[in-house]
Amino acid sequence: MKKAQLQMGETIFVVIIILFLIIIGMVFLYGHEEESIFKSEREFYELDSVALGQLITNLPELACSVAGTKQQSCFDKSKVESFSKILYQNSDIAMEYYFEKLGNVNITIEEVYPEEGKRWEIYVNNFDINYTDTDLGMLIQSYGTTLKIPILIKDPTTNKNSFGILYVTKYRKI
Amino acid sequence: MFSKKAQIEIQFNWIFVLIAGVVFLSFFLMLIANQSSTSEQKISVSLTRHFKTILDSTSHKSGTFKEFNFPAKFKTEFVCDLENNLHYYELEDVKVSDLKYDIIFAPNYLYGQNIYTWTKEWAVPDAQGFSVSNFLFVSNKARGYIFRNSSSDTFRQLYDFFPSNLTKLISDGDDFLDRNFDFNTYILTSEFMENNNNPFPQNKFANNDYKNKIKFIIIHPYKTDDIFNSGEICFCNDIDNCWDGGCLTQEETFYLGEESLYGALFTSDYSMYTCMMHKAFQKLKITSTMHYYWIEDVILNGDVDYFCKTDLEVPLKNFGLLADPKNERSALLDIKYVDLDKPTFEEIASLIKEIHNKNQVLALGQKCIQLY
Repeated sequence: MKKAQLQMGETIFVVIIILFLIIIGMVFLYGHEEESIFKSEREFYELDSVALGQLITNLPELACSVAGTKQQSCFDKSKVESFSKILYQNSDIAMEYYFEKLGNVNITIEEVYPEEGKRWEIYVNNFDINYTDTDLGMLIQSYGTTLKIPILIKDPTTNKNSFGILYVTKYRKI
Repeated sequence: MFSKKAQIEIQFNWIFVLIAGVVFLSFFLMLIANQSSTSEQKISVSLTRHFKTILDSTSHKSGTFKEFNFPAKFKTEFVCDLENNLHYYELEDVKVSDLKYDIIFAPNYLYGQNIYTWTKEWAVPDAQGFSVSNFLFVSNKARGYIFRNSSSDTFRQLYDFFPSNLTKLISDGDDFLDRNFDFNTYILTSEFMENNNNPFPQNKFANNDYKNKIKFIIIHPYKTDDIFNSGEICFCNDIDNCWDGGCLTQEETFYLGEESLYGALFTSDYSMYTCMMHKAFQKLKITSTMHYYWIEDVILNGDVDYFCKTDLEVPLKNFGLLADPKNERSALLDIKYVDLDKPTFEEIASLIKEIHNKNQVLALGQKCIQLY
């Protein structure tokens, strides 16, 4: 009887060890899966940011044009000012359109040469950072990554060009 | 001889091994099944993601024509329904992305291993006019575009400018064959229809299988020497009941500019085309509003020459009529594209033409600022 009990104990012990090894293996496997999902998410997020940068630099409503020909990576100063106007004065038609197109993003242009520091906030639509969602009862944080694109800024009234940087900050909830 | 106790022990061991074996085996089978389903999902996500990236990135670069090949055949469905506010596309019945404001001229369904994308900037009234938005055209190898041969030079131009990578053919009407395309779009002009009672003498369209895979598009340009400028388009399924001095179907609408004409050919569908053109007109309203504010600022700016300011007044008024930025009246561009009538369409086209003419006048003045 004692021998049989000992044998049974041994078998159960072996099974427990095997199960333990399997659980450890599963933890590692799912950990790896999770990491690869996060990696893909980051990759998709970066792809989205690049596509967004491409979209903004190609917006015909902001681009400089000479005799109907659009200039690449060039922003018309007066169009930039009119753009802000349409967003705030005709938000019924424009806000939804640009929200669908751009999403939660801040777009700013900064002049860097010859004058420095002049900024135009073209579009501001960021999440409220760190707020508590009452439905979910949890703290929601947002995280933004900024894409910087060198651009040309053209003043059509004086026909003068200046260099600037386009800042595109894309937000996401974390 | 074994004792009874030993026999029970052996039997118990076997039962234990059997149960443990089944548990282990089912665990590994579950793991394999799970991995296989995950990997299928990964492939599917990767395909949809790449498809989305292709459409997103190509739609921003005007003047590009691209072909993308995929490892397997897949079905893409484009949905644009203004009534129910549905705008999206699906890959293999999985919704990929919302397209509420994206202007993609594609057929309702595409099935195949490749897709063609072509991006063109929609500028009105013509390519030298003011830019409104990029139009993305989508098709594949399995769709045939058959142009009914015509003596008209402008119709020939339409054939020549249509991308050669697409399956396009020119037909004399008597060489009719089922070329095994998934869908066939036949393109004709109203002028040709007026002069030819029977555009396809060896008409075999009566074949029921083939009947479901064809669409006839009759183009009625307002200027006979310029097919691309503006005009009317008639969509129909039966060539014998399509045109008699005018479109015989309810599926008649307008086009404005070369790109919108291509839009009709790529969609080959009245509902899809009018839905996309509705979005295009919404964007035209936003662009007109922006131009309005821009001109208002320029006029208020004291540095601009008096004569230049005078020339800016007509565009200011016209952009105001088109978009009504100050909500003083109803804007011409507020009307739904499907409800657009000929006088309203002509008024819109004429206001845009006037703006364009004024821009050309402004271009002549050395010190004047151009609208675009």
